[in-house]
Amino acid sequence: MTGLMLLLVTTLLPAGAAARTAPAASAPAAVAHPTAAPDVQPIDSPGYLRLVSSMKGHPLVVNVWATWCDPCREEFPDIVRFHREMGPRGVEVAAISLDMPSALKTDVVPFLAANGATFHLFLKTPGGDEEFINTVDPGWSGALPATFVYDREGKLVRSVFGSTSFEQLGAIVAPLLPAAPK
Amino acid sequence: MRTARTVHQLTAAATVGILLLLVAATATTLSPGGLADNGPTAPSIGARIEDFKLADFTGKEHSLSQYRSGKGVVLIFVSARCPVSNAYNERMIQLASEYQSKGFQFLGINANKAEDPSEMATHARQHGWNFPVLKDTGNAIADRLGASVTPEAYVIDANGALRYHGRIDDSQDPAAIKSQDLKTALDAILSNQEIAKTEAKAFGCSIKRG
Repeated sequence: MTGLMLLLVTTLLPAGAAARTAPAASAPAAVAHPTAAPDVQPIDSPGYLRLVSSMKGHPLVVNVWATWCDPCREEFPDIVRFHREMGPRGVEVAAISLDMPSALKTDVVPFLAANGATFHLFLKTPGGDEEFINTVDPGWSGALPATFVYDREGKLVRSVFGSTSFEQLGAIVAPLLPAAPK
Repeated sequence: MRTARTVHQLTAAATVGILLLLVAATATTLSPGGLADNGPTAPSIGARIEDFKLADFTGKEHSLSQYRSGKGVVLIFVSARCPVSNAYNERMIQLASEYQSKGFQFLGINANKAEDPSEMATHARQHGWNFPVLKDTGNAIADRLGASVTPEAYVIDANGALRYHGRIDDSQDPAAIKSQDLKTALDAILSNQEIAKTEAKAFGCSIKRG
C-alpha cells in the first residue's frame, strides 16, 4: 500500500522528496535500518525542478555523482557525514547518480548501502543529458563530481565543480542556516 | 552563567565569521546559476585559436599550425582511466578513420595529471588508436581552451577558428545516440554549411589538473 502511494506521489514529486513527511529541522536525524536497501528514485529535468521546489524552507545540497567516477566515490563519505551532522540542523541533502539503470542494483545501491546514505537518492533517467545539465546550472560543463547548494528560498547560491568536502560544504551552508534562537 | 553564554555566542559568531571567510576565499567566478568554481572558460565559437606545440607519448612534437593545410583539426581531450572517455574509444577511432581521409587531423590530448606518457602509450596501443595522443603537462592547453571534461572535442578550421566545442554525441550508450554533434559539425564544414549546433554538453569525468 505504501509502495502504491509512493508510486502515485512520484507523478507529482520525486519520491525521495515526497516521502519527506516533516521538515528535517524538527525531525530526528534519519537512521537507516541496517538491512534496508537505499531507496533510489528516478529523476529527470522536470523532476529536478520539483525536487528543488519541494525543499524550500531548508538549505539544500545536491551532489551529482556516479560509481564510475573515482573522485565522486572518494568524496561521498563526506557527503554522508555532512548529512549526518547537518540534517538535524535543517539541511536537506540529495544525491543524483548518473549511472546507467543497468548498474542500479549491481553498483549504485551497494555503494550507497556501504556508505550508509540515508538522504534523498536518485538515479537520472537516460537521455536528455544536456537539458539536465543546463537545468541544474547553465554554467556547468557536465564534469563530475559536481555539487549544488540552494538557499532556503530554493535559489542556487553555489556550484562546486570538482570534488568537495565536509568542511567546504559546511562553510557554504553556514550562512544559509536560520539564525539560532537567542 | 551570563559569561558562559556570552563566550558561547562569541565563539559561535567567530565560527560563522570564519566559515564566511572560507566561502569568500574559495569563491572564484560567478556563473549564471550562482557562485561557482568554474575555472578557465572556453574561447567563443569563431575565436582564433593560437598555435601550440605538445609532444605525444613517444616524445614527437605536434603543433596545431602544422595541420592547418587540411580541412582543420579535431582536438579531443581524453583520459586512459575515465570510463566515459573509454566508452568513446571505438567511436573516436571510427570518426578519425572517416574524417582524417577527408582532410581533418585528429589529435587526442591527455591533460590528466596522474596519467603519464607510459600509461597513455599502453592505453593507445591496447585500443588501436589511429591518431596521436599528446600530453598536456601542467594542463596549459586545457586551461587555454577551457577544457574541463573527458571526452571533450574542439573543431578548429583551416583558418584557425574554433567552429565546434563540446560532446562527441549525446549518449554514452551507442544504441541510444540521437545527435552525432561532432560528426554533424565536420560534415557542415566539409560542405561549407553553417554548423547548426556549435556547442553541446555531456556528462564526463573532470580533467584532473596539476
